[in-house]
Amino acid sequence: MYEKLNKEDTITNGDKMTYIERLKNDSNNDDDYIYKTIKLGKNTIDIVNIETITSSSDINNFILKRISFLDNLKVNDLIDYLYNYLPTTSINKIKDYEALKDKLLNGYTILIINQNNILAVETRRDLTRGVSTSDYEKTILGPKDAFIEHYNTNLGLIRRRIKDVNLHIKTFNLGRYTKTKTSILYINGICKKELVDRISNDLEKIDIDGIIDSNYLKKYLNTSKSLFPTIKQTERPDLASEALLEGKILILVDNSPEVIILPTFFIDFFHTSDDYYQKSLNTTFIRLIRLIAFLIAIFLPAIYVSLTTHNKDSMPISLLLSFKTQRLSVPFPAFMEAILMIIAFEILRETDIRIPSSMGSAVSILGGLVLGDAAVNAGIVSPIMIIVVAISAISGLLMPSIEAVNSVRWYRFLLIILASIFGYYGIFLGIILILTNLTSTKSEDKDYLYPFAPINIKEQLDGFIKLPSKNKKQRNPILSDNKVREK
Amino acid sequence: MKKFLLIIIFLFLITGCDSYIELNDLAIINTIGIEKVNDKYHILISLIDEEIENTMEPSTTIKEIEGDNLNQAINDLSLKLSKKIYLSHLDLLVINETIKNNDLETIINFFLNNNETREDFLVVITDNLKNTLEKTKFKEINNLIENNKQENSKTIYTTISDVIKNFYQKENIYFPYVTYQESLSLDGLITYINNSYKKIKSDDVIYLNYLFDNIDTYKISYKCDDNKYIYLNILTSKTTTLEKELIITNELKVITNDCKLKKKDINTLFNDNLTSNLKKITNKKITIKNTIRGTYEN
Repeated sequence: MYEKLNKEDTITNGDKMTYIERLKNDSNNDDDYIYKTIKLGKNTIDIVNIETITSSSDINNFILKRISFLDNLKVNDLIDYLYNYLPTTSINKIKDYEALKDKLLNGYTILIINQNNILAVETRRDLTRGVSTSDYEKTILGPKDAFIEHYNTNLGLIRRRIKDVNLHIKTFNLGRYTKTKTSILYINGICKKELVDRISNDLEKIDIDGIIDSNYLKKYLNTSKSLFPTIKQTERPDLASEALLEGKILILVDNSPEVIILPTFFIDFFHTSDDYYQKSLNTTFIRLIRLIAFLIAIFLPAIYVSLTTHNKDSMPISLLLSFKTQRLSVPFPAFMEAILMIIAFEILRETDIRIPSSMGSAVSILGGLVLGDAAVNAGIVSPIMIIVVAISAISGLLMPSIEAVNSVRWYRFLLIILASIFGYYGIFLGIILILTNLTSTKSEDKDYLYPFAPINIKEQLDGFIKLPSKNKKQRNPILSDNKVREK
Repeated sequence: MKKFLLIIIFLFLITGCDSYIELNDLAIINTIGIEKVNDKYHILISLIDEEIENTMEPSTTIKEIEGDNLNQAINDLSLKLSKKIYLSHLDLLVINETIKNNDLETIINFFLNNNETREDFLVVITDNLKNTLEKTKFKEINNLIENNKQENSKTIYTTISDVIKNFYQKENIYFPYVTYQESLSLDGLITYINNSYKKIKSDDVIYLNYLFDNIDTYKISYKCDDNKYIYLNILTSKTTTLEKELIITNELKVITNDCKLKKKDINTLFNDNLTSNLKKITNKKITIKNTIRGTYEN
């Protein structure tokens, strides 16, 4: 037998306008709002859906075909029948006009029975793409699937990896207009509760018209003034699951293929997911390469400017003469030359991102090869400057996060300016400024430079070096009280 | 904001942009030659040319200047150059025999007061300043001294810091002596004694190097019979200087032993020769310990 509805489940429309009239009025009678009225004996069912976000075949097969013969039922029996026997797991009783609107805009079909009993049946159209490979977090080893714009799919990709009831979800609908489904994911028993509360509070305070993507949340979650990112985003479910197991928190946002990981440490930007899929010795090597590349990306142009303007005595005479010969016909000072070249590179990079891929190779050849060669031949820039900027730029792209890549650019500019004014002294000032900034930075109240400052020797085993897991069986103590990870 | 401004002001007060100069605005000097002509300093400056093809052996131009004193002469050089005189990469100071011990203080003071030059450039004495500077590349002299020092210990690599140190400690300063007649050659050492030069032959420099614990390696031969020689290669040597004694530890390798000498005899031959030569330059007791490897009769 089916479940009888309680009397209080039915609602009355106290307004003079019917729900349909109000909807038509509020939606300005938009074209994609579909209204249909069916008479079933003494009962009238108004069916409303938004064509563009609902599946018409689902409406036909699971609603219209099922109600056409229900013309002999009393109104309460009709509602009860619909609620219990429509072949869907997602059917809701609606109690007010606001909830009606909310469901309608989320792809539900609304059934209004005799003007005052409302049911919402999920008939959402699948507007998302399928799970595909990651675009900017490519790996050779390990899983290839990546998050997409569909909230449930993303959640499913994580649940597929962490099959435990302790994987908890705290959901919010953010944005006055967008009402974007946003969730905090954490593993109860591993993640510290105060971290969950802290991030929940931050999300609850958000009052904005819309959250279009997870990137919108950054400004609410990131209070640090550091140029370096204190929030890590990933589109890889394996990396996200790894973060959960470490005791971190994920924030999933509907319509966003990137999941936010909190808290984030400086060292996280030197780690990739396939670091854990290969021999620790190889991982250590590649992490050190990333560190060297990071240092080259930041310091190389500044050191070059410093060498050619202030600290000429610190290079051997043959190198000095080589630089001097190459710069003979260059009309700009080394500082201007460096800035011009870096700006030219940034223009090329931005162009490469924005233009269709079919035109990408043309821009690369024209911008990189033809212009570079022509600039050297015309004596506008020196070959050595092209080498310096190219090595620095390529090294900067080695960081596994686009936010980190972008922050490197600012440090590079800062150091070039300081080097052009003060030489090596300026570079050391820059280092002090950067270190001071990084050591005073926090990510969700955790020290950003951990495990280097404050130092934790055990955590160094998975820092810039990585030892086999038998040497590190415990979780990061500042992330979790549940320390034992491997027995 | 106040803190930020204070930091900026502080930075500008404690340093400045005065060291800023572009590479192309430098006149790079790699060699300075000094001699005295008619009681005036005659200085030859070797400037690295603007356009060079080989950065390892760049072409140079010689400029000549004269002055009553060294500072004035160097300052007058700027009258002949449109670029800033750059002494940081000075590699070689060539002094002519006309410079006496009294003039040495002037030269030392010049380099002590010049904060741009390094203290590791080579100082040599030559018989012909003009030829030495004009007909040789600065690397040639450097390599000549360096190779002879490393391969046969027949010279001493004297830097300006050695000169300064020994001058103020009132110790003998030994300069490599290079000559240029038809080609460049190394001809032992020169040292000042009572404002005049004393020449030390190349073969004797080895024993001087023993005193200073400055032996890299060298080969020596002794004639023991008609057309029969014993050749030794001194691989390493360590001299410990005590108050009244020199303890020398050598590692020798016998290369050829035509004389078929025994190990004990080789030891005696080498020690006697070394001791007799060292006695000429030191009064200390000499103790020699050798390790001998190679072909010898047991």
